[in-house]
Formats: sequence, structure tokens, C-alpha cells
Amino acid sequence: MINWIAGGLIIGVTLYVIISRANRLRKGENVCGCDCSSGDCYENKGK
Amino acid sequence: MTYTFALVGNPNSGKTTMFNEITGAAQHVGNWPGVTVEKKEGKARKIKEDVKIIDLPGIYSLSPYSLEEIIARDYIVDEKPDVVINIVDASNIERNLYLTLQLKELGVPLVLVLNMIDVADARKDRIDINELEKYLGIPVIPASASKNSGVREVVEKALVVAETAKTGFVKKDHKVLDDIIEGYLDEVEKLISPIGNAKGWNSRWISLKLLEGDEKVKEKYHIPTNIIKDLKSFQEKLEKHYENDLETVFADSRYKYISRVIEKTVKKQLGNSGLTWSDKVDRIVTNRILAIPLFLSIMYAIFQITFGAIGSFTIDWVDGFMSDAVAGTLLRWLEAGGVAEWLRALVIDGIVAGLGSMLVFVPQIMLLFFFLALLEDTGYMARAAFIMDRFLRKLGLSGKSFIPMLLGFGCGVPAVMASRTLESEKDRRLTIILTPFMSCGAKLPVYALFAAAFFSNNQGAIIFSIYVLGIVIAILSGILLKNSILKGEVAPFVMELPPYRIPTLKGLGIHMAERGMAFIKKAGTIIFAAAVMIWFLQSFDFSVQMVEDPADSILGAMGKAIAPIFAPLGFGDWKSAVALLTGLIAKEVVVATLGILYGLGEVGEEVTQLGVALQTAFTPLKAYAFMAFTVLYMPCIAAFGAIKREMNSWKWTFIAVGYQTGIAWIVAFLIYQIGRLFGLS
Repeated sequence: MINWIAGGLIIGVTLYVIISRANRLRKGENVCGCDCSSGDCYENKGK
Repeated sequence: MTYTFALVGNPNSGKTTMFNEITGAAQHVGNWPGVTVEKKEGKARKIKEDVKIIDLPGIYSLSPYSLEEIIARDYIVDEKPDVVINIVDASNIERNLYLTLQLKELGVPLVLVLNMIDVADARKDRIDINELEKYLGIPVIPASASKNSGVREVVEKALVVAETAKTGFVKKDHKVLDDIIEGYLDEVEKLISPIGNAKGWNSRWISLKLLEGDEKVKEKYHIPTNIIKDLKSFQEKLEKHYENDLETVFADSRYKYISRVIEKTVKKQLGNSGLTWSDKVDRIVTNRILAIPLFLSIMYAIFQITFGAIGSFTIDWVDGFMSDAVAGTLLRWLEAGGVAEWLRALVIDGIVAGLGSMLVFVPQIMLLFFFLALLEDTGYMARAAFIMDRFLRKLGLSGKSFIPMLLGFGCGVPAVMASRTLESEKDRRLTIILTPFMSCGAKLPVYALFAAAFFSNNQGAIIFSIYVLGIVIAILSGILLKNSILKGEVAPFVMELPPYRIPTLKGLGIHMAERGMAFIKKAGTIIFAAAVMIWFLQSFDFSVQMVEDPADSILGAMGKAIAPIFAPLGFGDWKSAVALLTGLIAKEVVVATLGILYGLGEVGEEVTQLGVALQTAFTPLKAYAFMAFTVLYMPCIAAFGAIKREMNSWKWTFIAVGYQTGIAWIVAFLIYQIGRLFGLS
């Protein structure tokens, strides 16, 4: 049981990260996981 | 009642510091112009919950010369904030007041903040606040955002102004421009008012802009041709009377008014030589001969400290903690929970090995960014941009490109996006192509790993040389592209040097914390996902059977397919090829991949062991060529997305990444082959 829960959690998180990033990239949004303290201000707001 | 207050001011007048103090946010603040390109929003949580604060980009005027000026002006005119809070650098009041006058002309409810009043006080400049209020006809609040002094008063005064404006009581404005100009302005207003009143325009301001010859306003409000005809005749009369062009006529008139105000309200106290201490330091720091050697020496010293004894100490400490405490505890839990062998391998050999190999370098990276933040906050980085501008101009490049490039040392994404401040499309494309050559923070773990493994006595010098290599290649590429596919005039670049300031601990703390948090956030998302994927791909073959030897896995097959490309560069083994490929997800993944592929996951096995394992595949020469390739080849997927957005063309996006990867290959090839000719190994 624990194998299914832990394994499922790890794979679920992985798939979520990949799909959400791919989706954002497809929509032309920023996928910068880096220094977004200044990145926020460079987000495409109002562009 | 919810109010919106907009912060407007010259670049580097402290708007973002004020924004952070009012909202409690931790936005990036830089002691150089152009840090804020887009507007930012926040709530005045610390003072009054229902007040929205907008931080606009720094601008010198409301004339539509640059993208920042257009963004700020459009926001004030179209969104109509309840109050405009004009942040003025009290130590440089004369130039800052030009924007203040233009805001007054706009007729918006206005509060003037004399920020950095402590700097003016320290210089013994005396500003008569009451007189200034009288001459400008607006409330004036002295403040020092960096010391959190006067911040509450600013918001409270803005609230009073907002309430007053709502009741419809607006003080009649003083006339700013010469009587002759005001006379013509009245004439234009008579023509505009009938349409303006019907459409709810700010007729006085539109008339002023039209008389001034503002093409953007003419287009935006679709001014009828009969009015344009009359307008032209007024403009010609004005130019004839003043014997000057319109732009100069209006600017002169405003500056005359400012001079009168300053004469009555400000008493400056300068040293005997008439120079401030900031000017005196600049005489040495920006000296034609000394500037570049001094800049290089400072950077070299920073790398020596970061990757010398202090850096090594942090690595040893975190390394021990990760391998013993984290991996050991996790393994005990997994064993106690009776989890399957494959899951144990996924957690220990995949996630722990992948993340652990990268996370050990986080303190070292934070240390480097502490020093860079120190240089930025003191104002030295702005001098570095100035020095580089002088140098780049000689080579026919625009110095304005260097600002996005400086941001590139942090992260390529905001750096690429900052290139939109460049007016010329060719300069913008050129800057987007060159910016990724600057070594971003994500590439640091790669250098730190290889430098520790192969150049343990000269780590700082080696990493410094890789950074310099990126800058040199960017400059050479700039010359090449500017004289070939991106030929064009060099755009003029005026940059104001901010005064030197003593950095605040809070500011430096924000810089370091944001860097550390960015890495940890990245580790918990994209690098975690990458580590899991890499573990699967290196554990299974195409028939989804677990393999004994990773060389037989899916990843192994992929690596072997592309490895021959890298053979002439000295690292033609499949593991290195795969690490470079997965590095496109995020550059830290290069290290995570090597950590997984070289089996770093055993309990008690430290990252330093990864260095030992790498010595079986690399020599110092090969390691250096690998680092050179890493700094120059195409950036990660996030930066690729940013390049596509800013280029707005697939063709130019592929030209950019193709050029970067091609140059990386050529440079790594030359390093390896020439090194071999000289008998290096």
C-alpha cells in the first residue's frame, strides 16, 4: 500500500510539474523558475 | 472606499524601496536605473488595507520617448489613479522637478515626496518644505524610504488628497509656462474643449500636448484636420517668437520655472571643490585607465572569496548534512516502512542524488549574490555599466544593451525581457542573442562542481575566467553581428550615475533570500520532476524493463546517439551528452543528472565523491571545455520561451539559439584542441 501511495505521490507531482509548465509555455507565459523577484515585474502584464 | 495610488518618479529615485515599505513586499530594488520595467501592484498592508499601490517604471518626463515613459503616461491618463505620489530624489531635486511639473500640467491629484532626505541633510542641503509647497501648490512630504521614515505620512497625506479630490475641491493651479505659451495654450484649448467636454477628455492637457507637438496624443485622440491646421499655425508662431524648435521652447520654459522655485527654496552646501564625495570616488572608479582593471580586480576578489576557504567550508558542511542526515534518515524511514526496492532506488538514487548534488552549492551561490548585491546597492554596478558602455561604444555597440546583460548574471529570463527597453529593433535582437552568454546563477553549480573536482587550488580564478569568457564572447559576437546581419546605427544611451549609498542589511538580506528561495523553489518543482524523469529513463529500457547497466537504458540510448557531436570537444561519453541535453530543462539539472548517473545516492556518499567519479571521465582540459560549452550553449526552456516572446518570431528565435549553440561548440572545440596541441590534458 505504502508503495502505491508514495510512488503515486512522486509520479503525480512530477506529472503535475511537467504538464503545468508545458501548458504555461504553450500559452506563452513565463515559466521562469529562477529569480522572479524581478521576474514578476517583467511578467507580460498588459503586454 | 478603495483608493489607488501610483508611485511615479525618475529612475533610481527610490520608488521600489518606497513600494516595499508601504506594501511589505520584497520587490527587487537596484541602485541603477531601469530595474522596474513593468508596473507592479501591491496593497498598503502596513498602513491601510484598502489602498492599492502601483509602482511605475522610472521616467524622466511624460514625453513619449521610451517604452517606460509610454507605460507610465498611459497608466496615469487612462487608469486615472486617485493620487499620483511623485517620488523625488531630494539630493537631486532640480532635475527631478521636471517630471513634477509635467504631472502638475496633467492636473492629477498629486503628492510630492522628497525621498532620500537624509542624503540631502547629510550634504547639509537645506530645503524649505513650506516654501516648496507654496510655489508648487501641492503637498510636499520629506521621507527616507530606506530608513522607513516618513512613509506613513506619505500614505496619510495621499489619503487626504484623495478625499479632497473626491469632493471635487481642486486648488487652482499655478501657471508654469511662459505667458506667451499659456496664451497660445488657451487658444488651442478653445478649439479642443467642445470635443473634449463631450468625450470627457482632459482638454487642457491634450491641448498642451498637441501644442508641444506630441504625435502619440494626436493619433490617440483622432484630432480633426481643421484643428491640426490651426495648431500648426500656432506652433509656427511659437517657434518664430522663441527662434527655437518646439521641444526646446517647452523644456526651456519649464526649466526656467524650476530655477525660480529652486532659487527660493533650496540652499545647497557643497564642499570647497564643489564636488560631493561620490564625485570624488568616481574620479578614480570611472577613470579611463583605472576603471576596467579595477572592475576586474573587484570581481576576481569576489570569486576568490566565494569559491575559496569560506565557500569550501559551506560545501563541506551542507554536503555532510545532506548525505548523513537527509539521505540516512530517509533510508531508515523507507526501510522501516518496508517500501519496495524500486521506490527506495527512486527516492535515494533519483531524488536525493539529483537534488542533493545541486543543493550543496546553494550557500556558495547565496554568498556570491551577497557580494553582487553589495556592489549593486552601493551603486558600483551602475559604474560598471558606465565603464562597459564607454568600452562597447568604441566597438560600435550600444551601451544600453549592457543593462539587460548585467541582469543576465542573475537569470536569463528577466534579462531577455529587459531588452524590450531598447528602442531599435536591431539592438533589441542583438541584445537578446547576446544576453544568454552572461553566466546565470543556475550555471554556477556546474562550475562549482567541476572547479572543485579538477582545479581545487584555483577554483575562484577558474570560475572567474568562465564568467569573463562569456562576456568576451558576447562582445565579439556583438561586433560580428552588428557588422553583418544586424547592421545599424548605434543608439544613443544616456545613463545617470546614482550616488554611492551604504547598502541596508534588509536590502542585502532580500537579495540573498530571493536567490536562495529561488533555488529551493526550483529544486522542489522543476528539478524534482527532472530528477524523477532522469531516474526512470536511466533505469528502464524501451521495453519498460529495468536495466542493470544505465548504458542500456532509454537515457543511455539517447546519450549514445548524440555523444559523437561532443567527441571533438573532449567529452564524447553518453553521460556528459545526456547531462547537457537535460540541462535544457534548467541548467542546474546538468549537475543533478551527473549526480544520478554517477550513482551519488549511497548513504554517506558526499558530493565531493561525485567529483572523484567525474575524474574517471574527464581531465582538467576536458572539464574546462565542458564548462565553456555550458556557459555558452542555448539557454534553458524558460529563457527559450522568453526569447520567443521578445523576438516575436520563430525564425529569429532559432537563429538566436542556433548561434549560441554553434558558438559554444566552436569555443569548446578550440579550447580542447588547442589545449591538446600545447600538451595539456
